[in-house]
Amino acid sequence: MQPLTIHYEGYWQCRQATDPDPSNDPRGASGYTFALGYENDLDQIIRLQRDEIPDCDFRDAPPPSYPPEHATKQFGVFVTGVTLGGKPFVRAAQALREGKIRWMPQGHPMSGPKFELRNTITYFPVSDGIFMPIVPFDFQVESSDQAIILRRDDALDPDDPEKKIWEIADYKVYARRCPVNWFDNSDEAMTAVGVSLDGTNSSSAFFQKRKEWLQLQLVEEDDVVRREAIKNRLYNINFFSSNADGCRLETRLGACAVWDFALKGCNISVKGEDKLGGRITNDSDWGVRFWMGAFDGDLMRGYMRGTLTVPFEKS
Amino acid sequence: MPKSSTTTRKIGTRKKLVQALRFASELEHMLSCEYLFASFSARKSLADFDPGGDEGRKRLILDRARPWLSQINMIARQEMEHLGIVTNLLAAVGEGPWFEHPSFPIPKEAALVGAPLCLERFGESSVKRFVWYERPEYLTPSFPAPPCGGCSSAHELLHHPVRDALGISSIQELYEEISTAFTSLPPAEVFQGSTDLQVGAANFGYRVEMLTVTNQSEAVAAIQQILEQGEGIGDQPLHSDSHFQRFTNILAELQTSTSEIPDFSLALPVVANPALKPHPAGLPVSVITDPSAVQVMRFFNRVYHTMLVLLKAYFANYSSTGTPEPRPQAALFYAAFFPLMTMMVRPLGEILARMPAGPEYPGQNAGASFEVEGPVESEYEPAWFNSRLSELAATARELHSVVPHRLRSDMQVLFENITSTQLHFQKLWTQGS
Repeated sequence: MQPLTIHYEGYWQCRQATDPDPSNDPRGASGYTFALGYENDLDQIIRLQRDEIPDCDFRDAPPPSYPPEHATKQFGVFVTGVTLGGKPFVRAAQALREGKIRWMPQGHPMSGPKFELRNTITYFPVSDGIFMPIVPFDFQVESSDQAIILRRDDALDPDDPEKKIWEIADYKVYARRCPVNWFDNSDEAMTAVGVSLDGTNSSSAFFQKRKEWLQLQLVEEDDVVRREAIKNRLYNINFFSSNADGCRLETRLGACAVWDFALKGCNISVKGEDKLGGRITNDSDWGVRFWMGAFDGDLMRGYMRGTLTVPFEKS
Repeated sequence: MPKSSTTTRKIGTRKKLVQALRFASELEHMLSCEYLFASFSARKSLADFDPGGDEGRKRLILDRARPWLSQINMIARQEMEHLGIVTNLLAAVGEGPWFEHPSFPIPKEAALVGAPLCLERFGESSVKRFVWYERPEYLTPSFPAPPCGGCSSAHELLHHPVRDALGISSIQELYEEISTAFTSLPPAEVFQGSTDLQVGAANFGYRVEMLTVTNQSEAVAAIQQILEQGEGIGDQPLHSDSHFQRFTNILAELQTSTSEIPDFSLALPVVANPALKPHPAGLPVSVITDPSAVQVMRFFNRVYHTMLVLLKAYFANYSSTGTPEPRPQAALFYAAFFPLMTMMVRPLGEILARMPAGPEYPGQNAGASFEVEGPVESEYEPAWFNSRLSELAATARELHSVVPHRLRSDMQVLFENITSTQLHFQKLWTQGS
């Protein structure tokens, strides 16, 4: 048995209000994220694929929409490689080429995963970084033709899977599901979205280009409702890129949290494992390790990179 | 800091200084409540509009108003920051926090801000009043300070506490006299508090600029910050980030929007000065009679009161040098700010703005009254806090079936959050992190 590691990365979306709004505020009034007039309410759900997002809730980025080095030049989290025992595993990599990562429980989009922060209610202490378990957690990787599907969930409290986060008195019960590390200025996160610490690709320049593009959209847009929405985005970028707010829009581009935990859930679904060149065994837990960051508050999307590791026996 | 225009100090003793600081506390507190009330009353989604009609117009209104609401909430937060700074000034002179305030409304002669203090929904009337509140003394708007909910200058209180006691007639004068008192009274007479007892900026994030006060120059700097952020008074008058500048901009944009967009009604039809009972001084209020709204109002006031008790316990017992941080201090900070303020008081205020006021007010909604019965207790026993938080959780659960159907998910989240807060608070106080 060797660990089969599936590597993935890409853009995710999370439409959630930010401080000083309540975390479940449906529209966002005072933080740096908000719903535009023609968009749906903020539902806090983390979405990893474009087909999970209604068109009206997907904001365009100015061209080029993705950094030059970006592998897929499209929104979403995709498989980028597979290793077996730490070495490239070509057969599985080819089988999962352009495979998709999903976190949405099948058939229940409104109960999708959320950053369970609740304005600091569900964790303590605030000493180094942020405690944010992602709840519920249901991890799925699927090949582009869906001939291969690997899926497993993880309960917040494996000893009491039905318990909700707000019912748990001791945060240490779910501490394993919280970030293990936090960075304020992650080179890796910024580089992934084409931003650097300074120079022409700095976070300031990043939003300056966004403003310029939005200003052009404004003069080219005839629809009154759309024009107002663009003005709102411009106001937001101006205010939250300023010292009045500590430049939160810009600083979030460099912020990054790392998660690393085992998937212990009983809901396991494996299909097409033979196409990977072997079979998944029960010798050990599945494990995920990933970082999420580089959050663009105007588009309400960020970037992630990580791995899923499963026990595997090559045939 | 401009020198006081008076030639005679009006605050000549430590006792009068404490009196003035307490009045400043009340004023900052009540301004914050007013601004929040206006924000609570704003429509936030299509569901807040009457069904039918032009959906595009509704979406336009929501987007047009969002920057205004963002600024009003920010200003409300800065008033809380000012209250925190005044609390530090009180600590510097050896006095505890003062989180009491009289019931709304306050007629303009007693309010020191040139206009009555009252709870009114967002609109041209309330924003004009906000401009009056925050104006520098040398500027007088061409429009009169609007009356509110029937409370006009014809209503007089029996006495005007600050003017009668101190001879002060404006908030700018109040702070200038406080500043003069700190620099002119003998330091040994004034600075009787421990420097350890003040909450500084390091305790907060998100640009909350809490200043500690340990000497005369720091006292002057703290007051300077309040006046700069509010009226824009300082080295550069009419500072572009001042509350005055922001409210005048909002007013101008609101007036333009009202003429551009048909039926520009951003606010829900919330009554002015909602209350659970008649005003103690007989001033006009809207006594809410809808039974469901009354229950939720009582709950709001209970949550609000709990938050004030937590804040008082935090500020009164704070130690900046405790290492490790005392467990009760950490527990109080944990519960008072984000959970109670952001996740409970605000959502409840918004729920109330969407509930009917009663048959006496056809087509109108209730609102948060910010009524506090009696002094804010000084509590420091974990049993009191645990009992209160448990009670609040139980009440939230009961109210789930009382609020209108579309608000039940909000009440469910409230119940979850209070429950979680109580669980973590209890553990944090007794066992630490």
